[in-house]
Amino acid sequence: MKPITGSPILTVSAPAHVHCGRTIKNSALETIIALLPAAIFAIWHYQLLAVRVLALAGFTAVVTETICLYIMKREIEADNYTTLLCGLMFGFLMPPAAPWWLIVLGSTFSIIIGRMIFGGIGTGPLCAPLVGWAILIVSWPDLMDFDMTMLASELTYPLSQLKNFGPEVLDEYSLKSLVLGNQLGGTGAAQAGAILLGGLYLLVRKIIRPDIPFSFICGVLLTATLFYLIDPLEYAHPQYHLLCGSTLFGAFFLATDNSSSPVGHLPMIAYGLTAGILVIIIRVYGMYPDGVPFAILLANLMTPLFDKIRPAPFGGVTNIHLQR
Amino acid sequence: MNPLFSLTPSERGPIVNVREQDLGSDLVICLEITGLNPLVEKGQDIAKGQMLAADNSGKRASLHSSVSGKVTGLKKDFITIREEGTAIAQQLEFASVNPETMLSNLRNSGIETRGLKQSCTLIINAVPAEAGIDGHRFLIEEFNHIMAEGLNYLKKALSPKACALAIPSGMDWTLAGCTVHEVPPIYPAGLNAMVISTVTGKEMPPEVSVISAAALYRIGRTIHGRQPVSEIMVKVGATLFQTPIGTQTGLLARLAGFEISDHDRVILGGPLSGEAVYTLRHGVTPETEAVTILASGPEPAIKDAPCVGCGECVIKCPARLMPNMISRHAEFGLFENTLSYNIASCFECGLCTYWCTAQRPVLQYIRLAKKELAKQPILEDLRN
Repeated sequence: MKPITGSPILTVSAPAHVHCGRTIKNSALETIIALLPAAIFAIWHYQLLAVRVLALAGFTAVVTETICLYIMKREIEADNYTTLLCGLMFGFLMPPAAPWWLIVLGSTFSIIIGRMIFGGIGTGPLCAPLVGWAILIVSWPDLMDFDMTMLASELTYPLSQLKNFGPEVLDEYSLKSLVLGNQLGGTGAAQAGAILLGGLYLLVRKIIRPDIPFSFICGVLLTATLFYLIDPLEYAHPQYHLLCGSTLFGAFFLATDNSSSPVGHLPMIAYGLTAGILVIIIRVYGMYPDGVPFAILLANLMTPLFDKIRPAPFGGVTNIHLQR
Repeated sequence: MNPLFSLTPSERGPIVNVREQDLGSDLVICLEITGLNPLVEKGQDIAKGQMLAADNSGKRASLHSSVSGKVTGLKKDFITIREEGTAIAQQLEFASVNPETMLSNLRNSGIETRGLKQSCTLIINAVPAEAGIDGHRFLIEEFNHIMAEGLNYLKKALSPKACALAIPSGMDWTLAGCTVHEVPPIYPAGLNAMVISTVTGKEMPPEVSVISAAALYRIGRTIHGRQPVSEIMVKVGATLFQTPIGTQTGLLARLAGFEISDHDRVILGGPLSGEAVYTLRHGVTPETEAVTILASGPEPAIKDAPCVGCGECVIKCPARLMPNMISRHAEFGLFENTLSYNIASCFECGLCTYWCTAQRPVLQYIRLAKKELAKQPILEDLRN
């Protein structure tokens, strides 16, 4: 259709008229790519059990979100892959042998309570996969226990060993085997080396900023070192805290969740440090062997406070009428 | 570095004079008169330099014809004139009686004087506002004496405390009577608010006036020729044009070698802070320094998406604001709340929108909130 004058129909837009090209969909896809190495390692360790957990978690998340959006009379947005990512991250935290209904339930809770009741993408005050995980671990602690559900496996869960038998049992885990994921834990979260690989990929591709992961890891290492220096016989070496459980997964994937993490360099660093310190405090004093999920949830709750750390605005103008 | 943010002026190339081109038909200019009161009628013969529209309240600059010809169209917002004849309006008088008359003389000859304050620090901004908007390089290097003449007039009218020339670092531009300040050539350092803070070391100080190098040239040319300026330098793509004010953007785009098809965008100014026009017949304004043409893509540049809270805008904002929160409040009409996020400190660089992962029109939300707030009664200034 052309107007009578023969002039082409121009698009009118507001400045800025150009865009950097990074979109929600790109970021979600890149993050899913970053999860792939850990998923492959998980399948290598647990074969079909891992495939089952990840597929079920991802599928349920997408279906749940679609149903929610339909009820809310909103456009279906499964094609931006953020829900699939959320479901996969939830699956990464689950024991490989968890019953199917548990995975479906947790994934559904993640989407509904972690995300949709707040209004959908970008609104959740808590990291959505952790919400589902937290509901399950409080409601069905036995089924979420890695040792109890994975009795058939030769692998053991280093963090519960540490909690029950003290730090000397950790000597039987070589660093190499921990990096290769020869430990029990969340389906994908325990594949320390592969997770690190994916995290570095995200950093290189600038999908996440280094502030939160590095300050998170710093928080973990500093606090663990502090305890280790107080009594090396009582507390584990910091390297085990870094490689066991879901520390690295939390640092690179969960703590960096957009909607629940603060904005700005200083708030991000404060947030990462807080979460990292809480991880060790929960592991040392808490009843749960792995402190990462709860530490991140607690830090999420503090996000609005961290966001209050702001530099003075340009010029400090308080009156709109002075602008022109 | 991203070439979009590089403010280093390009090497000078040839200048294309639109009048010397074979246009195929008469030159038709189209002048925007939004908010001004037209002084001519349809069908009237116009002399070059004749006043076409003026502001009744005497604040905004008046508008003059850049050609002699006949008014072919008069709408609420636009006057179109077809060139014919060689009539020239009579010369203007610039008697330096007192500062106020001197400023109103400038205003009546088409120079915007709203930002100029008495006994201020006067800054001549010769830093390109955006990458490629460097047509004034030619003016400052070849017509330095004209600019100096304009500066002398401004000095008499404003009696400024000090005069400074802000240039992108690496250039050797000077101007008689000005101290030279180098500005790092990275966007948004060329925007007025950033130039002021680089030159004075203070952010948004009240007693500073900024005028662009192109505008200073126009003042000098007006004083020198005793005629309103009719031709300006406009950069279209990589081509620098010398063209009458009001030349239609479609003509400039064609001469610069652009094929414009449906859904492309034509922007007066640069891609980050310019304003899009809705028709190729829209003429360039006296203040226009560049016309940017963007080809359409399969995806819309901006979407109606919720903020995902990634924080890119907060980290990239040169005014250290939280565009994410301002846009979230403005989105739902909570304009009062944006004041507590210091919306007034925003100088509209557009970087928040450029970097927004959710492709939200962040700057547009900020402008909406500013506009709504500006309608409210003036409150006390809480600055120290």
